[in-house]
Parts: sequence; structure tokens; C-alpha cells
Amino acid sequence: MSDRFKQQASALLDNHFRDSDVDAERPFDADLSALLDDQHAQAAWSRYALVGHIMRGDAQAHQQIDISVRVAEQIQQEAQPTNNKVVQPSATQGGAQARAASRWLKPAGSIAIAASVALVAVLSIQQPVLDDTQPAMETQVAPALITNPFGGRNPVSYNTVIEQPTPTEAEIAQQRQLLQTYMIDHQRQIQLSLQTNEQTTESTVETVKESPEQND
Amino acid sequence: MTKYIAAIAMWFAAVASFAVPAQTDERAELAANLGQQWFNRMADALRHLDFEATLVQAQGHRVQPLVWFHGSYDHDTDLELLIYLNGADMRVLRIGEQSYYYSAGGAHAYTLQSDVTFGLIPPAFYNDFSNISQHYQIIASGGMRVTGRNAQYLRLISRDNHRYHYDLWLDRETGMLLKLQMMTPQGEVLEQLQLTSFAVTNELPEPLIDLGNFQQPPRMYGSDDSVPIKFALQPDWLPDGFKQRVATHRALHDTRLPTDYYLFSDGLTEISMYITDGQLQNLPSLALQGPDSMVNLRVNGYVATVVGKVPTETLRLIAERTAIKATKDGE
Repeated sequence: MSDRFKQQASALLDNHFRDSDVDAERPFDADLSALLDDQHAQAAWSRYALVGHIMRGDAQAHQQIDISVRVAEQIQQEAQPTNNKVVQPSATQGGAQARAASRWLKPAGSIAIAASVALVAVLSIQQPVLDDTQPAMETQVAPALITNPFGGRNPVSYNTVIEQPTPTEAEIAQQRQLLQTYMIDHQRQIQLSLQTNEQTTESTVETVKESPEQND
Repeated sequence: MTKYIAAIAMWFAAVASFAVPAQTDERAELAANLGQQWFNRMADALRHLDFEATLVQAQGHRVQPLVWFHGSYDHDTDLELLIYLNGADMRVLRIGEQSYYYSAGGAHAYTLQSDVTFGLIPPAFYNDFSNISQHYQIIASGGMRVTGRNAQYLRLISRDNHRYHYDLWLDRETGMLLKLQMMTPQGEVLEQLQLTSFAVTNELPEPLIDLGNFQQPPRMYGSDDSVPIKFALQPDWLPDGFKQRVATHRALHDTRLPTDYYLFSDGLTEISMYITDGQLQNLPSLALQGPDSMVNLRVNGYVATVVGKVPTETLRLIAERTAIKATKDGE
């Protein structure tokens, strides 16, 4: 940038600007518009202005001089991704929105487990039993454990509190099944205990203590 | 004569000075006695009354309508039939001490040798209150209209906060259970049962009369109970009144996961505890609260999984307060 432009910028700042071809009717014309169009001159002008401010003592420490450029850049950069995507809350973004978002995102895995458990529970009830292979032989068929006991489909789902981050998606199906297995097994054991109760009432109390080395 | 009057007056004055605290105590005791009487009436009605009823069972957001028939045959054996009306056709038929569980198609049917029908109301409700009086108290208070009938309201409260409470509404005329709510100590209702119609038939209800020939499904057997527990981690604390019913080592159904299994009961509520090797079981530590709560906790390289109709907090305590003990050869 020429020195002339700098001078002119300085002059403009101090209200001493004069166009080179002095014309009473149109005082500011060619030179001024050239000056205003020149980026370097603009930068120089804002630097001078800042210097002036500082010297007069009315500059503020954190005055953001020109964010317009950066904002423009940012918009340019983000224009494409934001077109087809909902604003992605990032951890660095402050504010309630981000917090709400992270609240939603974090337990997603655990909710998924619980919900799918409930789903399995429902499915296993509704599933019509197809193989009708004459189950009723005699009363003494040994492993009747494939049966599903009645109370076994309690909804396992609501008020889920998961204390640790859940493992990968791949394991969730397996875990869901395991949860269900525990629930069903519990129901089955209660039913079986009803039977042992029968036995104990019939033939005095003896079967209750199973393992003598077990003290509780 | 005047002496007597003076004596009586003195006696009254003496009594009156103690009357206020005594009265409230007395009233509480009366309510408790009344509660027990009502509870035993209910147990009796569930065994001996001939009735047909429709009802709704609600657990969380799940609602299941049922029909319920009951009658006694020769005043000796009681018969009961439950039909679930939503989803797959499920039925429970009980004849005295044999109960048969059928579901659509019959492939999952099984027989239990038990004189109570499992899945509807706690088996303890069929028996005298004295069986559970040590850990629960029952209070009769007021009444209201339930299922179009005059009902007596009972509160079945555990003596500590480790268990759930029950609210019961009984028919004043017959003692029959008309409504039941199971709730947390904080009052959140987890399970409800509400009769929507109820009629005493005075004779065996029709569906129970012609039972002629029906298929007896195979009897359900547990795995061999005689295998002793194997793992060093063992339960060390239980809420008051819970007693160990089962302690055995077996493979967990379906998964073949080697598991030490414990069953505890206080007469009304059952708690199951499963202990497995921490490397074999991959569930995260979790707590599910519902009609059946569940806590899964990693302790000292093992995993303790506790399931039961009690608050999650209770299950957590049981899982936490486990201890490494010597198995078999020790102690």
C-alpha cells in the first residue's frame, strides 16, 4: 500500500481529508472511494483509530475489533454440514441445550437394553406355540425345564438406573437375554419352592437346610 | 351404698387419668386384631368360597384382564381356574394340591404340586396371618366401596422398609379379596389387582363342574438341589426374617453359566441370589426397579445378581454385604 493511502487514511480519521482534484461541488470523490475500496487502507484506518483510542484512553482491553471476518468464515465453513444436519451439540458448547443433549445421549444405551428387554418379554408372550408335539405323556417327565413359568414375563423395564456406561452394541442382545433369564429363573424357583413347601409340610421339616456348612 | 358410689367414683377418676394414652394403644391393638381377623377371613374365603369373578391385573403399564373361578368340591378339595384374556391363551387349573399351567398350544404346559395358584396373589394370602406376623403387621382402617360392594380396607405393612407394602380391600360380606395394591415404602404403586365383577355362586361354578378328562402336563422339576455351593462369595446379610430356603450350585437355565443359587423367603416375599464368576458374566452393574426388582453388582471378582419383589435398595444391600467365606473344606 502506498504511503499516500496511509496519509489519506490518517487524514480521513482526523477529518482533514481532501480530494486531490479539489472540486468545490464534489469534495470527496475518486480518491475517497479508492481509499474506501482498498482493504489495506481499511486495515490501516482501523489501526489508526485504535491507536487514537488508546492514546485518548478510551480503548477497552477486550474490545473485539473485528469479528465480522471470522464470523463470515465460520459461516462459510459450516454452511455445508448444517444444511442437512441438525445442529450437533458439542461438549464445548455451553448452555442448557448442550447439557440437555448430553443428558439424552448418555443413557441411550441403557435405555435401549431396558426397552428391548420389555420388548422381548412381550414377544415371548405373544409368540404362538407352533410345535404341538404331545407334551402330556405322564407326570414324571424329567427335564420339564424348557417351560416358561407363568409370572416370568414381568415387565423389567421401568425405572432403569444404570450405574456404569453400557458395553458395546454387540453385547446388548446377549445381556438382554441374560436379564430375562434371571427374571424367569427367579419365577421358576419360587414355583419350585412352593412344591418343596408342600413336601416339608407333608413330611416334617427337613429339606430346608440344604448345606450344613452354610451359615447365614 | 354411698361407700360403693364413692369407690366407683374414685375408680373412675383413677382410670380416667390413664385413659388417654391407654385408649390410643388399645385402639391400635384393636385395629391390628381386627386386621388379623379380616386377613384370616380372606384366607378362608380364598379357600372355601364358591365364586366367579373378572379382574384386572396391572403391573407398570401392562394390564391383563382375567376371569377367575373358584369352588370347593366336597368341602375338601378346592378347585380354581384362571383364564388370561389378553394375548396368548393362558390358563391355570388347580385341583387341590395339583396346579396345571397351560399356554396356547400346550407346548409350555407344566404341572406344579402346590395348593396355591401362582402368579395372581401372594401364596401367603391363602394362609393364616400368624405365618407372617413376625415381619408384617396388618391394620384394619375404614372402608369404601369397591367392585360395587362394601369393602373393608386393610394395610399390610412390613415392620421395616426393606419390603413392599400391600393395601387390601375385602368384601365385608364374604371376606373375599376385591382389590390389592403392592407399593414401595414411599407409596408408589407397582402392582394392582382389581376385581371388576364378583358373584358368589354358592355351588361349584359351571366351568369347574365338568373337568372330565383333561391333559395333565409334565411335572416341573428343579435341577438337582444336592450340589453344594462352590463359590467363596456368599451372602452375609439379609433383612430381618428372611430365611434361606435353597443354596445350591447349578448351571443357570439356558445360559449354562455356573452359578451358586440361593433362595430366601420371609413367608410372603421371595428373593433369589445368583453368584457367578465375574469373568463369565458380562452384565454391567445395574438396578432395575419394578414388580420384580433386580440388582447386578460386581464384588471381589464375582458377580452377585439379586432378584425379588423388594425395593432395589434392599437388593443392593444384600449384594453389597456379601463376604468371602471358606467353602466346603474351611470352617
